[in-house]
Amino acid sequence: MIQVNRVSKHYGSIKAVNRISFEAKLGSTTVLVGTSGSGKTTTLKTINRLIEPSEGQILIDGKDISLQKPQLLRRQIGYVSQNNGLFPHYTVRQNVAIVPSLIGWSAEKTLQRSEEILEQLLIPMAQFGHKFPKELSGGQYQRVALARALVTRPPVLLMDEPFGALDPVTRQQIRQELKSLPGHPERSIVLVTHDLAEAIELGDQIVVMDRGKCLQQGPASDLLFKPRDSFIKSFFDTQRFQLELSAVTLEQAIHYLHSNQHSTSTKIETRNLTLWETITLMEKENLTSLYYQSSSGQIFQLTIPILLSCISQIKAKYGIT
Amino acid sequence: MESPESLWDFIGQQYGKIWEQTLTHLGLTSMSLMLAILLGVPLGISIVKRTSLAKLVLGAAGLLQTIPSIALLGMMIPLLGIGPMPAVIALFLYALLPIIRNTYTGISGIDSAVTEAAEAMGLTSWQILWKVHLPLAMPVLLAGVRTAAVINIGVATLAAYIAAGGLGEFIFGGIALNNSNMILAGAIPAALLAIILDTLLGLLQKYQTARLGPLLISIALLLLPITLWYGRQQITMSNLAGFTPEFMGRQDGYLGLKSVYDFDMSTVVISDAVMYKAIYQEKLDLISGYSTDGRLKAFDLVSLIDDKGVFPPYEAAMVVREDVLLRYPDLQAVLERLSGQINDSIMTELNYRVDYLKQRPGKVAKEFLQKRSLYRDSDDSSGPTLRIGSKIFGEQYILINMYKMLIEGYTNYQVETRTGLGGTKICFDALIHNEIDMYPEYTGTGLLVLLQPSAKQLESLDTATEQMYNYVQEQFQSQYKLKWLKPIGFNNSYALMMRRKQASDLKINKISDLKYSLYGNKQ
Repeated sequence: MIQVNRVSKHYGSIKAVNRISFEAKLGSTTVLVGTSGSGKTTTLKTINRLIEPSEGQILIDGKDISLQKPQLLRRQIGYVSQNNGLFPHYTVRQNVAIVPSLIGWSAEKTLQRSEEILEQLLIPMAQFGHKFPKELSGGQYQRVALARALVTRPPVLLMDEPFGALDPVTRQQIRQELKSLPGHPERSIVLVTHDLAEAIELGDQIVVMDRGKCLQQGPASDLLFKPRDSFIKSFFDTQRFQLELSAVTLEQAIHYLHSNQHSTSTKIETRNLTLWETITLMEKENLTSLYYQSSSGQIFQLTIPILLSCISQIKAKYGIT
Repeated sequence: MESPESLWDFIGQQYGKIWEQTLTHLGLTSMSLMLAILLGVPLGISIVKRTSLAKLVLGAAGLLQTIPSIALLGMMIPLLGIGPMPAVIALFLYALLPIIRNTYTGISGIDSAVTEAAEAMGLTSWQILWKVHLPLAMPVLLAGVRTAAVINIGVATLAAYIAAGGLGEFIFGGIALNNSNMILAGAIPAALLAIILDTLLGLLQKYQTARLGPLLISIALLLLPITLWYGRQQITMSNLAGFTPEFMGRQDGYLGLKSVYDFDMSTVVISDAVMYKAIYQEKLDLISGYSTDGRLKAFDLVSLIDDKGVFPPYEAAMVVREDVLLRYPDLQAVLERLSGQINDSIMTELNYRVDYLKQRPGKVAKEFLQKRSLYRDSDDSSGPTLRIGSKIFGEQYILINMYKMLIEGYTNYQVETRTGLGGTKICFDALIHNEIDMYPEYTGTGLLVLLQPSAKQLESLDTATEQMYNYVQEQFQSQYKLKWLKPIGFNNSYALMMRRKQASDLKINKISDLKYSLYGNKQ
């Protein structure tokens, strides 16, 4: 678990980060969003001490990181940046093996674990292990960067706009893979992005920053349906329709649905998808309706108009028109 | 006519010496390159994050690069003397800039995201330098080493000027003797060395690697053996003779000295520009010079008597076209007023005043004539104009000023001086083609450069002063219709010189004495 307590970073009279606090629990993803220059990347880099805060304190598993040797601290924190972070003179295999060698893993253990993590990220060692970064596509490159950060199963993963340079299709695929990677429950992830869909899709908790300050933090539905002020509201306006559908999961929506009898001819969905994912699935499989079995075993019939009306009802509840 | 010696003949005769000079050349280059890498790379690394220091260091190294190489070598002499050490230091200074600059540029050019990733993974700054920065900067860094290597192979030829040896001995000897085979025997190996070293370093440059170890071992294997060999090769410099490249290659120079006097002192090749200073500072004990050189006096040297007659006489006399003497019958007597007036030591003194004290040749000439009561003011200048030529050096300027004053003082002729005539051949051609009427020449030059007798003729010729003068005079008269006037009195020939004090301590005054005093009792 990461605890960030009233952290500030001053450059002369400029307060790049101004008293930011949040907690990132194990198994959760915290997303820092904001405009350019809002201080989100600076905040991220204070966690692995690439930047030393001017004030405040950061604890990882209850231990103050300023008391640890930076190099030793960083070896337990995975870090993925937007691009060009792979060593160009190392092969994929050598890149993935950097941190294991720093912490003294045996060659055997390193190889075995590298193969495992690369396999999970669809970069088979046999095919890609000997390649140099310049021989990889953008998506493969970021997958290797992710594998390099995760190979030693660090309890903390920091990502600075990791998918920013990728095309939307690849970006979506890698996000899905990241969510489905095993080991998620033993990890706290902090992600910086300016992609709001990404923030809402990945973030269990979202911290909205502007000019160094935290404007509001909480789960996606809070930010969308209970914005603290008009800035937060306008922040999400451009993609509001999709974001709202992405922010609500089926489980959250059952209060606004009617229980139905199960019809055998239609498919039953048991995953707790977001409403946006549900609509996307129906579009893809060309379904007019779908049945959802909730965690309590109830069955609900879903159609696109029903799902859209859920959103309207939620918004009505919060008093948003 | 004998067929001229081909390059192959020359190489066949001299291959031992070529090989030795090539190794010395490579030794000089490798040692200076090693030193430059050992200092330049750490310096380049250390300025990467210090912008203002980087400007200072690169500026200073750039400044060194702008100093002409021969001047840099010259500047080394007061500090480090002559020989391999100042040469290696000068070459090292030249090699610094490309190595520092390319190290700096190579590391600065690395994508900062890579450095950040390395930091974020927990590499220490040494690990970042060793595993990331140096391997990534290596192609650029090696390009700097290649540049430095090629520059150094070129500049190392100049090491021959300060007694450090190398292929420059042949190159500059060949230039001085106008022997193109000798030039090529030095220049071709130098070019090959540059190409080979550049190619080998180029191969290393292409070999991009994640590990520095093998690369560093390759560089060390390339440079270290020859550097160590060269380091061990350097003997202590005592009882050394320094001779100019030209003297080394001449029959009436070092070659004659060896065969006639059994001369076997250790010798180094050195430029005449630094030779006098080197003997004065006791870096050398014997040098080859010209017997009337002003520096003989400036550095308190004494020339040894050539008791076995190896150096042919170079008696100075005016050479005039015969038709000029016929047209102006009183001219010869006026010109010969100077004959027999100036001996070696007087000429040395006059040269000293012009070359060393920087007095005007006209002033020196006038004062001399006044002292000898030969000077007359010119009252009448209504007569025709005579043209006197000279080669470009102080002694000739003094002489033609004296002749001008004599002619203008004792006759009504006017005199025009042409002082810009580069060398012997130019003066001679100008005289033959009626561009000038007369110029001062030396009998030895007249014989060897202008008459060019065959080796057989030379052998039968008596090189005693008087016979030589007579022979040259007769030949010029019959071949070119040129008249040698009576000699001025001094003899500007090759001479071996020592410091006056050492010569008197060791009681040496002739060349044969050397054998028993200076190097005779060496082990």
